[in-house]
Amino acid sequence: MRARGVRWAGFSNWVPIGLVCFGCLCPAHAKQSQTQTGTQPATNPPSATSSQPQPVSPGLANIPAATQARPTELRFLVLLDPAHGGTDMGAMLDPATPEKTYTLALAERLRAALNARGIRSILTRTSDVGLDSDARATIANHSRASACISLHATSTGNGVHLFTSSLPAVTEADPRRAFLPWQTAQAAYETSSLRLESDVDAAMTQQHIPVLTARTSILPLDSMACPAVDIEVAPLDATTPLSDAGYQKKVLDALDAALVAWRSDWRQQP
Amino acid sequence: MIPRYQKVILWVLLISSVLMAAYLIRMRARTQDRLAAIPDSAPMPIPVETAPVQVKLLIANDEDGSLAPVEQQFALPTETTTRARTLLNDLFAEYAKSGSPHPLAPVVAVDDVFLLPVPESNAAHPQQMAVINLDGSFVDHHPSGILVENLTLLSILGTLQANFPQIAQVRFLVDGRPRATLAGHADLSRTYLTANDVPQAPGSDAPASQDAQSPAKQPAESQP
Repeated sequence: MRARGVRWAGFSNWVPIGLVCFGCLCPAHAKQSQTQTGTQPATNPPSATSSQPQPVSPGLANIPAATQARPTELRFLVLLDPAHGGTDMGAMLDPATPEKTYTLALAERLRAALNARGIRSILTRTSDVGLDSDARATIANHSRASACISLHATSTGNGVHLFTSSLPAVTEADPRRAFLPWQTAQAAYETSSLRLESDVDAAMTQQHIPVLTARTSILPLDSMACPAVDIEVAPLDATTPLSDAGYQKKVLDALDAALVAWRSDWRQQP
Repeated sequence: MIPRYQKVILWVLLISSVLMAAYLIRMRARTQDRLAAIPDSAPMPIPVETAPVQVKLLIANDEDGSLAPVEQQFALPTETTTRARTLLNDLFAEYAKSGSPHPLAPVVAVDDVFLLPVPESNAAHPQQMAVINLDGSFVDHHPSGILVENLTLLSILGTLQANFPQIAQVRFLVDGRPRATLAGHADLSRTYLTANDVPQAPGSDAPASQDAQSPAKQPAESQP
């Protein structure tokens, strides 16, 4: 059974793995509904073959009907988290481009590319709104995503920097896995996150983009109950800035290919 | 028509005011001279000329995400907290130099370092928690990004670990107050453990590779 975690009233600091919130009255659901602009909470289960009630993300309302007709495809969902937003500008990539704008544009283009391949995806934000770390993790954990990708950008360094959580991994045999603190929910997904990072690394390398992998402690990554990777895009080199259209296409193609590869890997997991 | 006696009273009062003002000014000057003549009995540390000592700095590199140990000679104060603060400011002075591999603004980075005993540490080897009070202008000028912020924190932790082995835990404040992140990414709200968070490359003095940067959190039970 694939463990899932949510945060709901009464367990504000704990993530009960294996339990889900079936109602839409908890604060987490309410917050999620507010952050998904322009969508209504779906009332149908996400999988046509599932007879049990499932937590439904408002983002699922955007799924094309043609995609919904394929149950096997429906189980694979990618969450894209464009970092920053609202008053949180993030880094200034150039005098006119804050990080929040770049990450949102990148996420929307990646979503379009994934949709074209029949891969469902949702965004934590679709406009210039501020979301705190808890809200982002809440959306990720309620969506029951198969991959959670946080997108960042920086003008420092070069290539693409991949980060996974530095939390000590909690194995399936560990009794602590049943109830993990909200701040360390990612500990149960360390192994799968590293495999996802490996797929992204391979795809970037195939596009001749330098990759730097590291582990770090950063929110909301540590609170996400899904295979999660933070991707920080830096200029390719001294002559190829972040705004270079060719470079952006290479990054998007690599991420697209990585998630296609991850879909195969994810299905093979127990 | 003002009567003559009123004119006389007015002039007497006016002259009295001037005389009193002159007297007060004179008394104030005499009091100041008297207080200045009293010797200052407050204890004053005797300036000690310390010889430069060998210290190890962990220098970050933004290009490859590495931390390289660099030996340098600095004259440092003998008192531990002042010594730690001076060492960290010397570290950031290196980053402010032109051509630095991890360029940072040339401002004072660390206002204070406080050392607190760690209660659960072994009595034979007492450990300390360092509370580092970063200067607000340093934080405001710090470049934003996961990698660059992470490297700054690891450089601080690694330098402290190399020169103050008794420091086992590190927390951060900015202008005396808790702050969520350094510049939008790296977590400043948690306690860092030098033993776990500083990357240990194979071979004690080898530079830490980019893949070895693994600031691990405290065990889940001890999270705030």
